[in-house]
Amino acid sequence: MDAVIKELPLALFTTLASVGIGAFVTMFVAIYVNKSMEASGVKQLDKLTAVPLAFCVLALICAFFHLASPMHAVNIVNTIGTSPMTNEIVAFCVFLVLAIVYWIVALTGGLSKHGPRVVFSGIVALAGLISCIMMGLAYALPAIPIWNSPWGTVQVLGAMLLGGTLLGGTILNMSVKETPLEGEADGRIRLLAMLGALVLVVGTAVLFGMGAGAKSAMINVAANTGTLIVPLILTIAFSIVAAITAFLGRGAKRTAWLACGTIVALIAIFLARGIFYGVQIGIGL
Amino acid sequence: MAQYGFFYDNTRCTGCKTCVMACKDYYDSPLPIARRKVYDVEGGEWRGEAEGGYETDSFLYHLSLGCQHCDKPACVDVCPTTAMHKDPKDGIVKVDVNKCMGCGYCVMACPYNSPQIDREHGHAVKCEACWERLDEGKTPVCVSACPLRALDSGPIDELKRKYGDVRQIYPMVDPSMTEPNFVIKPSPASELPIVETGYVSNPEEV
Repeated sequence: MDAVIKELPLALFTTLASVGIGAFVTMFVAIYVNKSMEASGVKQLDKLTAVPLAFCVLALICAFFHLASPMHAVNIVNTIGTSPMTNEIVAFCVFLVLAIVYWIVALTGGLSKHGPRVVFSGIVALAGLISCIMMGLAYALPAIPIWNSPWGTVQVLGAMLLGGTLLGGTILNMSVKETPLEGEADGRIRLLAMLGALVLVVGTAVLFGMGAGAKSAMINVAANTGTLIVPLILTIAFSIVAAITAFLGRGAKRTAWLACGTIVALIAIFLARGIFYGVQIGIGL
Repeated sequence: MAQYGFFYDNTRCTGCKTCVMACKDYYDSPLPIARRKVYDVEGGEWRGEAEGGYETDSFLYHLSLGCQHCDKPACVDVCPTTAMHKDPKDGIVKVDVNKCMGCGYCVMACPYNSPQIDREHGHAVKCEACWERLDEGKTPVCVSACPLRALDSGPIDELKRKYGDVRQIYPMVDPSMTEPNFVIKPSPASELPIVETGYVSNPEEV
């Protein structure tokens, strides 16, 4: 439990960043599928892109709160490609810069044609996806066997899909009046939210199971597992509830459901990340 | 380069923690920071016998550890700023406080629980074998403070010649993981067949 409290800024960083990135991925999917989005809706969507961007900026601020000397962070330029943490930071910063540029170009009318918009939003989504993978891989340390597995990355990708889809869906629904989330785009958003919930729950449950079965001279594994049971049950319950909201309501009510779903998903993801840091059980001392 | 290392006599140590206190005093460390730590490892149980007596296989020993100044230091491998580095002069793993951003990645990566983040001063801290004392021809402060003479230090080749090449007792990791420059004289308790049922009974201290 101490590890969870100690890593609180990182839990917030990974929660907010994965949801913000996921929203950009969702927007790309919707833009790619929906070729005939009306101009006013696109304009509104560009304005509301500030919301997932704010999530990502807030995530970065949380990450800096984790550092004891943030001003020394420039020294990471020495280890690009060699330190997994540097790769994580650089990948996230590249994504963030691309997302900000995309937002500015879109706001100034530079992406009025469908083709360039698909390409640019696709590049941002791809950079976000890479950033999420790097976020998971940064914890693959041999000294912590539970983290040194694919399940941390699986959990982050589940968080990205669940929270991101709901946040992206909320913004899309608010932007385009003519029920843009009907048909193919809506079907994909529902599918992504369900898939995200499933991946998040499976990833978190596997991490919890590995933590329960771990052997440690330093940590009372049974007591540690006991403190993580309630967060696990809540993660599963909130993930299911969040995914269900993707299927509820129409029009304005649908927006409200999606917004509620985003909040529930944020809680589920934060708890799931807490479980991840809670199973920080070292191989030695 | 003469690689520097530590020797620890597990048969002599009584777990008095003078090494820990001498180190904390010398470096004026804040309360949660300890460059050297003593782990109390205990296990076994007492069982009632039919005749009314008791038998036991309980055991207790201590493990005093600073940094192992490994040949393959996990902390150096992962450090995003290159603040954590191995000094080519003596092989001591040191922190460049002007580079360290205090991310705690070294803390997660080290299987010996050696580095810590000193948030008050804004960087990682760890045992650096009192290199400034070594330069003056002295020994590390923990070595000179130990009342049982359970600690020794010097070039690792010399230590191996004097004390052998045992580098692991429970619950330390397999030395092939980081190649620690550390030798140990195991106590009988640390070689019991049931030793791996033991646990560190003072986790809050370390």
